[in-house]
Amino acid sequence: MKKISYISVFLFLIVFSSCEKQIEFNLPDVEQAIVVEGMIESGQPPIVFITTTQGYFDPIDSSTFDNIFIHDATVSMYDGFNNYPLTEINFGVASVYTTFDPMAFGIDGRDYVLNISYLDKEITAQTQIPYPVPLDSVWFELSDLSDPLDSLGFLYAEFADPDTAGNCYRWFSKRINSYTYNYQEPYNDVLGKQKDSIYIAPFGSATDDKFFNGLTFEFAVSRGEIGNFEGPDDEGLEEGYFKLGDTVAVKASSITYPTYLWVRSMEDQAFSAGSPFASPGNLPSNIQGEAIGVWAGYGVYYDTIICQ
Amino acid sequence: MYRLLLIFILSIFCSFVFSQEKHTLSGYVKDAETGEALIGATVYLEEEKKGAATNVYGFYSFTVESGDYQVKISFIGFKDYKAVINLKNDVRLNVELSLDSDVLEEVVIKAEASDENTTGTEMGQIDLSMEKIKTLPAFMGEVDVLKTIQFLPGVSSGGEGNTGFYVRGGGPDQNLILLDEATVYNASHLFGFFSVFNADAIKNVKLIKGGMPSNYGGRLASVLDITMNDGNYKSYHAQGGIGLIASRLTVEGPIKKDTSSFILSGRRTYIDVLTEPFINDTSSLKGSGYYFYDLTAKLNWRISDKDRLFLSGYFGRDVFTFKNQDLGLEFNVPWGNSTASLRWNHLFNDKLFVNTTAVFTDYNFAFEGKQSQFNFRLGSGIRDGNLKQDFTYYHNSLHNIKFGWNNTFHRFIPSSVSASSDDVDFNTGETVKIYGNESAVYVLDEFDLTENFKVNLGFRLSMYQHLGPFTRYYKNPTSGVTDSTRVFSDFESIKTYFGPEPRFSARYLFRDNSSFKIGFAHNYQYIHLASISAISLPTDLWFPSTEIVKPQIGTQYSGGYFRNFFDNKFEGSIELYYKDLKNLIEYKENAFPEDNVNNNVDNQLTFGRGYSYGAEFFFKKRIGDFNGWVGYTWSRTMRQFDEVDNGDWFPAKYDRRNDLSVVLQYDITERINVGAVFVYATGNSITLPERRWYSIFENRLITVWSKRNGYKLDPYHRMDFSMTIKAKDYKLRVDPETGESSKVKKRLVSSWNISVYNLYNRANPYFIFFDYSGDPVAGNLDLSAYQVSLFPILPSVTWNFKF
Repeated sequence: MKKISYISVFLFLIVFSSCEKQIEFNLPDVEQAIVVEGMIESGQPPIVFITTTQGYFDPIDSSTFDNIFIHDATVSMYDGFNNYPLTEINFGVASVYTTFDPMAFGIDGRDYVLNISYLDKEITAQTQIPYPVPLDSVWFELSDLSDPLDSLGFLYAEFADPDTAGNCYRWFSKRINSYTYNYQEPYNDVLGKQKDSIYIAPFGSATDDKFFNGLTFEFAVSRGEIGNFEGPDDEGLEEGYFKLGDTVAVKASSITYPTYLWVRSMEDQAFSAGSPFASPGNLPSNIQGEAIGVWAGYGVYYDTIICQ
Repeated sequence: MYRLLLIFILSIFCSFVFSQEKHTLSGYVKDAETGEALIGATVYLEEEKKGAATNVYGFYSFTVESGDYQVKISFIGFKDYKAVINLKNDVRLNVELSLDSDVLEEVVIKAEASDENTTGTEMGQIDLSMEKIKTLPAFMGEVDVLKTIQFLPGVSSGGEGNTGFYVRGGGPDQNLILLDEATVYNASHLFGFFSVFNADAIKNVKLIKGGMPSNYGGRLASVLDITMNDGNYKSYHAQGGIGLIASRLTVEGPIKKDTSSFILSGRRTYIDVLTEPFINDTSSLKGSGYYFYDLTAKLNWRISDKDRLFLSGYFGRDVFTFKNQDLGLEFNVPWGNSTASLRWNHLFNDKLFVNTTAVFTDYNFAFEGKQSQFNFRLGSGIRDGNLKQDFTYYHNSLHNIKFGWNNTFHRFIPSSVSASSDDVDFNTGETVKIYGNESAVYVLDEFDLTENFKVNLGFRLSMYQHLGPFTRYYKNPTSGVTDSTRVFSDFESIKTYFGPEPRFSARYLFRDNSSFKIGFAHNYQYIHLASISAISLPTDLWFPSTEIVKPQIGTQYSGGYFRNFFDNKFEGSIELYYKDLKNLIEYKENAFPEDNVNNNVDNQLTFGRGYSYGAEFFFKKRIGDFNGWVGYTWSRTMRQFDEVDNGDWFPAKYDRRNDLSVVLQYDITERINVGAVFVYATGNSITLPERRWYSIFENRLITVWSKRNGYKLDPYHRMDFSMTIKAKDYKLRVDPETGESSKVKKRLVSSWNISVYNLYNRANPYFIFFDYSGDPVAGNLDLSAYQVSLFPILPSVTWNFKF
């Protein structure tokens, strides 16, 4: 559905003679904003990062992260019954606001209000953990493309969307098996290491049900990459594919509509970075008060499959 | 205003009372060689010291008291016609003018200069002759009227190599583009690099950027009225050209000599054909390609001295195919216009001319994608049926009255989507069609109030009705789900808008060949274009007014001083304008095309207002071996939308403080002509990423953008050069008896056009993008801005022929 981006691919094909050069902008100093990035998942504690924005071209080095975390904010979460203070836990320069109170762990179907007070700013946000929808089945299929791909393929799933309109979903997966061989430098020491350390969402990971409300259907998913990181098999032939023998943990989540809108715009921004066709737009934040960011609830269904 | 109206009514009344002893001189002016009607030829009565210009069908009419008159009919590049007419009765004088150059004697062209610049009431109206346009530098060798008009003051270019244009702060949808009276919705091929108009098929181009006379309406900013050639009434001819990226061919001739004729033009690009052999059969991109073609045809028939029929048509398509076998990805993007218009000119009598037009217009865009088992199709389109009648009543030499009506039935499909995965069809909703009926009546009178004071007073009343069937979706803003729908039945009136549109212009002529003009125009626009991306693309959606989308309203005030110098050889003008715009339209931030499914497009829109003001300076040398013009515009264009930047005013993308164009041509010899163009414009406004933050969950940098259009790109400037070399169009023949040699015209006339685009290889900014490399956590991230420039120095050569 990335029509705009596809068209930009055309343009690059046509305009064989275009040239590019690096340019410098002198951006004025603008006031930095507070960013709230919070998440609560079924059965998990809430995790909230509070940071600040930086100038777009500010240098990024080892000291960058020293200054972005906001400390000493007063943070709490309300689940409709109780108010849970979230305490700041520091690790190095970074810090996270959370709680180990099991009563505060995510419960499907519940609304969660986040309240932050920092200096004279009052920041609040609301989300919900929607009920997860189980996948009917998940399987692996080899790609039917040319020979060199004889061990590569995509994951497929069958899924029955409930009859109520307005469900939104986000897909994650994580390969929990280990690499059986090394790659070229700098990935020549990956043998024996677990392929993915976290759940990864591919591009287009989020959707609402406007195209398939109440339908049962199959869909294919590719393997994503971790944001800006490049893994050993994230370039070249294996990019985007799962491989015969992979053991994949699948996390199929239900999300709220505002979370879906945020994820969709975030992915679009990442995907179309630099495209002249994308109109610049800030992500649709669901944070109220003088801050931007997202407070997201995830209702999760887990499955594990072996690619065979 | 009311006093003026009173004078106007009285003057018509008086002229009726005293009109008994008057007679009418009328007729058609044609080109003797081809039989084509000459548009804008001047018919001048020496005794009355009054001139009139022929209309778009070559017709003129004068009513004066009986007597003997010296009549002079002139048209630039043609020999004058002079005669003494004894006007005792109404006289029909059809005149054929012949070209003022005689190859046998090599006479220097002596064109009579016209003073229309200072004497007309029109402001900001420019007629361009195709002959001139064809000798200017052409991008990739393709002569393009839409690019030439961008050299005029008040008209801004839509960007590098782009045919999109912006008139006095208006958007690209606010230009009414007419091809033989048919509306052309998307006038561009290939993402705007080429226009849909084949230069060989075009006779005349008229741009009205100032106060639109009331016979035009439906758009706020400008009218670009393009007239196609009728086809040669006398003999068969063919002409064409072979260029680097496209070739074209035009054939024309009489069906029945002096009575009916045809013209047929075609053009096709061949990049796809040329590159095909070089794409490896095993390449994953095999099968990808792009081409466009267009066909233009016109038939016309002089049924009698009083009736003529014209049938014209245009059909054009762009087709983009992209295949990537590695990704199993394939898509097709076809789009294009078709128009057909049937016109009937009828003379009720020598004073009343009527043109009845029936037009059909169709514009379609589709995007068909396929990846593995997933199929996706997105389409949009417009279909119009239009019927109108335009009357011109040549009351007497003081009054020239036009009136008429116009009715267009629109059918819009803003978005139709279908998607399937294997054999499961996704629910992509009902295709929402929007039906609307747009109509207008108008009257205008151009009359001389005194010897020096001329007024053009007009009024247009427009109406738009949104008609059923239609389904309105009411969306829940927090869940995105449809809360309710309302279904309207066939032809049910959903919303009606009326637009009273007064138009006024006046000219005061001073003795020293100069004049002062003022203009006022109030316009309504009922159909709109919203761009989801930052540049003009065929994906941009046209859609009509609904109960949510109010008509755009524009009010323009303008004034100017016009002066001719040295016997009208030079024209100069200074024009000032202020324009106020209401109900402008944009997509909301984070709007996605797929959200149009099971939804109304207008639920994704936001509305605002704007203004624009500026000063335009124009200096032109019209005739002579060395001719051309200099145009300079100083302007400012601002916008305000409640939902953008908390309602702050921001500069429009094409807010240009400075815009300069210099266009020069020089005939070195009879056969060699050179042309040069220089343009300079303030850079486009852009929105830059000002801040960033790091999403820990997503492992991504997230951009925070500046205020809308808060920055400017580098200025745009460029110089183009062209040279046209004509082959000798005669050969010498020696008379065997006398031994004298004489020149005989060759059947085949050919010329070479060499164009160099971007002569000094300026890297103009086309767009800016931001990219990063490295890993922010490791602290080695590098963020940089890159500027992409599209066209370096681009020479091209085209061979044109005619026989």
